[in-house]
Amino acid sequence: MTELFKPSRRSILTLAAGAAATPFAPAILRAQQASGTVVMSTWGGDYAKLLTQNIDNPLLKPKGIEVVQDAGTEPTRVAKAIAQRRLPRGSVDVISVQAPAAFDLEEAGMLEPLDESKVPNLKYVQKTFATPYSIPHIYSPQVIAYSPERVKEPPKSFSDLTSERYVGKVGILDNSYIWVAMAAALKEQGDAGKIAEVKAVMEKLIKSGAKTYTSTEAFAPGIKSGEIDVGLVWFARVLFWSKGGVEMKAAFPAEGCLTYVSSMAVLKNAPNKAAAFAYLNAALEPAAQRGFADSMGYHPTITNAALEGDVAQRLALPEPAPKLIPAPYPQLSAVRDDMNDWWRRLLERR
Amino acid sequence: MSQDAYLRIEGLTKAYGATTAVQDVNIEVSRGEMIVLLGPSGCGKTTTLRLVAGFVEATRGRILVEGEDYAALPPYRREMGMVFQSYALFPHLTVAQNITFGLRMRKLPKAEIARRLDEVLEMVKLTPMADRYPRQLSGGQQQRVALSRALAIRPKVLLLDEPLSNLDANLRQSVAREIRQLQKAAGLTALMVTHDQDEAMTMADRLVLMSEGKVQQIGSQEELYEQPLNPFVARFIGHSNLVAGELVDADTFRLPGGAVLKLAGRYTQRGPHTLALRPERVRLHGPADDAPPRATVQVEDATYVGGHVDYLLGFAGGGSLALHEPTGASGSARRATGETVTITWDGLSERLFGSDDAAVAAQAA
Amino acid sequence: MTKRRPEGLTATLLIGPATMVVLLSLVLPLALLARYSMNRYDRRTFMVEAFTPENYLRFVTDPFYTGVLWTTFSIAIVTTLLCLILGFPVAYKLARSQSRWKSIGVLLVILPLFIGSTVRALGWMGVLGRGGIVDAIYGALGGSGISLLNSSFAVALGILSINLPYMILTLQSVIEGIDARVEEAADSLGASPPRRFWHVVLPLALPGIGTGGILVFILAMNAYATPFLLGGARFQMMAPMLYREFAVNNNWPFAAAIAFILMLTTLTLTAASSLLVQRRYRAH
Repeated sequence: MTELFKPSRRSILTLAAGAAATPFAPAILRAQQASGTVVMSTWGGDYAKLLTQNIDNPLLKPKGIEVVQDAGTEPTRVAKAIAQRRLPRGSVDVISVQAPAAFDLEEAGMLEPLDESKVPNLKYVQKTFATPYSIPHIYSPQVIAYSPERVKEPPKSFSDLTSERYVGKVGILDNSYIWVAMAAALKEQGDAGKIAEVKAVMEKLIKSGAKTYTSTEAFAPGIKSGEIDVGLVWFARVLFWSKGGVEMKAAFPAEGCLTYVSSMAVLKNAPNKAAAFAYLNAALEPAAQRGFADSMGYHPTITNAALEGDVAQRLALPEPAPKLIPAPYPQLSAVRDDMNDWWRRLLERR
Repeated sequence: MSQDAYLRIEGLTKAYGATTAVQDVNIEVSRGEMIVLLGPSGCGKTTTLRLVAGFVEATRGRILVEGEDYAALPPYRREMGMVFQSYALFPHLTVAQNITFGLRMRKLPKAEIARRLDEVLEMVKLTPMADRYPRQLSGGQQQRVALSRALAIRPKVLLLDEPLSNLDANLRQSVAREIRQLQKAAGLTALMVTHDQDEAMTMADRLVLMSEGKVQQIGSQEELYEQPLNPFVARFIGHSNLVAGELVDADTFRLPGGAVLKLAGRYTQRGPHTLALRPERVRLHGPADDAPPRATVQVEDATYVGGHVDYLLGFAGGGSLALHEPTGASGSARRATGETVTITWDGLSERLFGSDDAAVAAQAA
Repeated sequence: MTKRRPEGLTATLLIGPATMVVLLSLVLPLALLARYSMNRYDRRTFMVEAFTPENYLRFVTDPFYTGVLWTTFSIAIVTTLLCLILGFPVAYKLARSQSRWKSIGVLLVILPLFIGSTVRALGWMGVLGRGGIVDAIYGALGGSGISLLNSSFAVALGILSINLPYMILTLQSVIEGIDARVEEAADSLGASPPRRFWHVVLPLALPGIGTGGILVFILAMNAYATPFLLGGARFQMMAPMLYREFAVNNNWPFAAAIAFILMLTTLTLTAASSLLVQRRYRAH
């Protein structure tokens, strides 16, 4: 397409300004509007592969929308979005992040408001997870993973983790420690938002020898080798690891489960907003949602995608259904920086 | 051989796997003597020197200094001063520090070190250079530092590995003389390696000529020149003409091509032999003179090189010979190419070697 | 024939593009970073334009952060010294070797460089971690499960294994430049091997030791994957902390300040040590 190579004077100026303001900005993706390309900022690996299999190829390609993935870790992708936020046109249309990060981006005024006129499938979204600035793509409840070999009586609530039984045998994922704190707040304070109030509980856990893992993948070997017996992780993870041959079971805390939600949102400076909304709508299609449940063990966030057969059995939640509690985003955002600082120091002091 | 040799090298052998670099070398050196190891490259002379220094471990043999075997000692216990071809000065030390290095390693008292330093600097006339670094010196000066560094430790034996080859040609003679003077003055026993015959001739008390890891001949310059023990020595020292042929009777030597030479001596042996004649000992005759020794040849080439005319002469039927005729007062006319001439030679310089390369003696007259 | 160009102009034309590249790729981002480090962090908008030293003050007045800098420095110094002590004999052997195994030896040293530090850290996790090789041996000897992971030992070991090849290769090339005859000269003058090393080899190898030391010191100061994976959540070094401030906490101004502090510390120490080496080299 020759037009691509005859940029207007104005777009050259924009490009130059962009390059000067943000050394990271790839300037190549700018003239995509005409081509119906949508740039998806996403995690790499399985998640990206499943997006292609369940959304990009079956649902968007027939509509003439081509998806380009910009894969990376969430922090780097968020950093990139921040770096580009002052540009009139960024390089990314849709960004997929964890729900708390989506809240932060909204707070910074970077997200396009959503409604059913733009994303019709929003009407099927389960009310617990709905927000006006992002769609919940998939969710998974936080459970107490345990080794059935060494833990004969399944834990019933968060309090069990701090009991004498599991001293030195609790595993914590360093990058999800705040979710452990929220689970503690839910049990001890009756409100998952009272995060700063449970510092003492967390301190007790660490002082009594809880193990901290810097990578999520290190949790399963910890259970397998007997380094730890219990720990809070996503239900989808337990399903994934036990499918991989690790003896591991999930217990649902009686007080309710904090719930992981993976969100998708449209950036305000997205170059191709129409395609971006189409993407979000496709992500909420029942077929797409079932695909993720089947392969990754994450639950659908819509009301019209009931699971069937083997998948339904594997992902089944116990009866009566545990209360699913999304993170209290405003409270989390308010205390997170202080908590992070406090947590680092706590670990350093041992 | 004398029992009171200062340095005795006995049966020294160095083998690298299947190849033998040095084979059964035996040398006796008197106190204060300068022995020069001479030979073409790869003949084992440098390895022999390095064996004596201890940088290379001997496969067999003994190295005796005043009756004490050094062969098993590490180099730093041998007290042999070594001068390297590349000088191998310590680049991070000054001239003075280089010279006193060995003394400091011996932990001599400071006063003694200072005294010896002054003495040595004086000897090599480097006193003004004491605080310079090697890179600030000329090649000749570096050479003198290397020498004085070795001399300062008052070594049992001074070892010199091609000490002149890195110097400009016009410096070599004076440095050679200087080394010789210092060695004599200090009464040092020395072993030097060189591939340069003139250098060897100038500096040696005696020469050791080596080839293919073996000693070919040991002796004074005159012995090696006048009485080479085998064709290799004859050719290497002074470039003798080597002519292969057959002794057909007591004084007739016939070349494969049919040419016949009348020899000076009379020999009892018969059969294939090699005749060695020095170019400068062969002379041109008038065509009438037919007294032996003589041969008839054709002038193939004649080159005037100043001190003499360099002739290349051919025998009828093949084989050639170099001849140097002195120029000067006699004013003898130069022979033209193609001219047939008769040559003769000094009977004493005629050397004949058997097919086993051993020298063959003429019958007493 | 074309007109002769003044030499100065040609030189400028030749150097020009390279200078521009350096300027654009190094100086500009640094200037930008310096500017950021003076800004203020805000939770909602991430960064507010300001001109304040508070990010630097926060770092230098808080024992937690200076402690992390100190830990980083200690690990870097220890691993640099170990690299030197362990690397020198290997480099010397390689440099002086004339056998046909030499090239294989060099290859063995280079080979680990083809594997990224992350993969090698994962390898160490398999060796040192629970259920790893050390644990298995310890268990077989009758001990109960041990993990050497998440310790300064594990981090130092990991960094050492990554940096050692750089040190060996640097030293090897420098030692190869030292005339072997010079060592023989020392030998013949009566220097035993230890004294030969001290008085001749070491002073002559000093520039190489300086270069190699600075190289591995800088690498160690900036190590990221190794301390992150082998040190775990409880072991803090500068580069992982810097990354966390930048990418996880989105606190760019503070991250920029940390980056500058790390860079200035490293540069200062590097300059100081090379001055020291130079002076010692001159003194001889």
